[in-house]
Amino acid sequence: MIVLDGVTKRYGDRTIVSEVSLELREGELTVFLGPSGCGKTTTLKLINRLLPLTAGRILIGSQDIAGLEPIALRRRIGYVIQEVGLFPHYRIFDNVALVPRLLGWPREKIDARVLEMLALVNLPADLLGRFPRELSGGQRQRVGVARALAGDPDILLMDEPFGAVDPQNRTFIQDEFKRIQRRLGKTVVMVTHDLDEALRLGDSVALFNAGRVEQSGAPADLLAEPATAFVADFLGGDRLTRLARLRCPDKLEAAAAELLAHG
Amino acid sequence: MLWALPLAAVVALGAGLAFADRPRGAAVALGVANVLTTVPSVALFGLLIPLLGSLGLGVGRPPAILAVALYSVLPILRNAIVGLRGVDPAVIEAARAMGLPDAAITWRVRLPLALPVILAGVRTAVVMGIGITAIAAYVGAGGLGRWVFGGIRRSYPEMALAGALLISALAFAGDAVLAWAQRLAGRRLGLA
Amino acid sequence: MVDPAEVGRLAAAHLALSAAGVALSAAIAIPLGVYVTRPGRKRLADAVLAAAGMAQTIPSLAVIALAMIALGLGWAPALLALVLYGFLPVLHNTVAGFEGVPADLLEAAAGLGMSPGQILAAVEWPLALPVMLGGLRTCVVLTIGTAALAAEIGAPCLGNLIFQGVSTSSLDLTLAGAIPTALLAIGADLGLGALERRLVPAEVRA
Repeated sequence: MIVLDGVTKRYGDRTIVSEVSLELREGELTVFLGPSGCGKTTTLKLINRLLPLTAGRILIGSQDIAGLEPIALRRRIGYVIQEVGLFPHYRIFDNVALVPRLLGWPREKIDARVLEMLALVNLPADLLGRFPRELSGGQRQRVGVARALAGDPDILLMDEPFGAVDPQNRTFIQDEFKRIQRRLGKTVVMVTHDLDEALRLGDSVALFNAGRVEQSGAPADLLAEPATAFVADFLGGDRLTRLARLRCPDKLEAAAAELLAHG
Repeated sequence: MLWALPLAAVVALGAGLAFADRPRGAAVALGVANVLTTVPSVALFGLLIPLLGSLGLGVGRPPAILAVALYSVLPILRNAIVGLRGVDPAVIEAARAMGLPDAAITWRVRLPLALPVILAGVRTAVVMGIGITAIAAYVGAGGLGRWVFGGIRRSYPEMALAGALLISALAFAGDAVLAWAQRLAGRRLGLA
Repeated sequence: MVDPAEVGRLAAAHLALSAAGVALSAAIAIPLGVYVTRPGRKRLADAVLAAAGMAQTIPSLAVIALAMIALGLGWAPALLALVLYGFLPVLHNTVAGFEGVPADLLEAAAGLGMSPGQILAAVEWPLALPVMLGGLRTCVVLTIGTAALAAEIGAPCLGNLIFQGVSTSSLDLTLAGAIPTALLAIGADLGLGALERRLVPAEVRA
């Protein structure tokens, strides 16, 4: 479990993240959702200490991350970004093998792990000798996920991971990723501004606005009972249609009844 | 110097226009210009003197002018090719669609749009040319370089210093003027 | 007449002077370039880049004259002039090369738990290398050319032959200096070009 407790980030007198408190459950995929500049990415980078906290604390398990060595911490946490960030001068094998090597695994274990990871993300093993620029955008994205998982971290942080994948392939890759996540039981925190992605993938969604969390909970809860006007607005006028698509008929009924009562 | 630059500019721009749409030719022209620029200036003078000497133009200004012109071709040519190629194809297509003949497209669309980049090449050429002209003093071309050589040979540091500072000032001034022209051209086109 | 042994001796001296100049230039410029491109020094890096650009405008003859005024005649002022002039393109390209490493790669590397030293050695250095080598190539060509000028301030090199040849109107001497100087520069340029192609795999080149 990851606990954010009064997490605050300021640059000078600009507050980017303001007193965010959340509990991210183990083995679940939590989405940080919100418009650009709402503080969701900053919050993500506070978790692996790419950015220092101004106030508040973050616990992983029962350990305060402030007491952990940042580099050791990051090797326990996978990290995927929109630009993927594959090293262009490393072959696919070396990109995926990066973290296991940093962790000092023996060679045979690394070789086996790289093959396992490539199979996990459904890429053929003959790509291992290629350089990233010889791969398609979707393939690079999968390699990015394989690289982040290679060191077998308990936690995976993802910043707009599917943003650069073309729309035709995005849904497919999203579903595939969700399957992998369920199977491996990793705790995942994913940042996105894409409402559909958040609803499709998230076990839990935290909706950010202006550095604060407006509402957090299961997607269906947000759709059924938006806590604030901002949440209702962000989820859009067709939120009940979306709720129906999530296949939660009971909640839909309750919401519809409420709507009728008020209308 | 004053003679050399227009000479180089005409040659380089001509070649640039000719090769901008012919990658093979451009590669060859750039390669030749590249090798020429690699030859150290002192050596180039040494090579030009016997060459021009056979025409009775051995020492003095002719080798200096020719050397500066040869060196200046590369930066102007390179930037001319880059600049002309960099013009948005949509703009050229629009011009063609409006019925402009090819010559008019070159003169009224491509060259003006490539001008800031070309001027950047001229800027490099000018700074380089001033430096080479100074060295040309030893083949009898005159100029401020004479003070430097004279000062060194006669162990008269004040004279060498004055020459060195004046040459540097000239180079800075040339650089500044062309930087200004480059910005002006950019602004007139609304690019900067 | 020209003594071939003399040409050989001067060519070796020219090469030694140039090599010393390039080695010193690289030894100064590369660490300095790496230093100013560490995080949090963006302004320093910009200032250094601007200063290097300005200094590059100063003609080589002026640098030679200034070095003589500072250190007199001989190989020491010649070396000073070569380094003053030659380290600028290496510095410029080192800074440009390191600044050109995409920010998302650095973020990914840090996010995966690489230490700053590992990021420098395994990510930044190899990616900045092609640009750095370009600077080194410029430095080598410039240094060989400027070394010829250094004959003026008493350093033995091929420039001696050229200057003597011109002042005594001896074409033999002039060419005996000029041709090897030109070949040295072109050869070094081609050699470094080939090295660059070997060190940088085609798939990585932009």
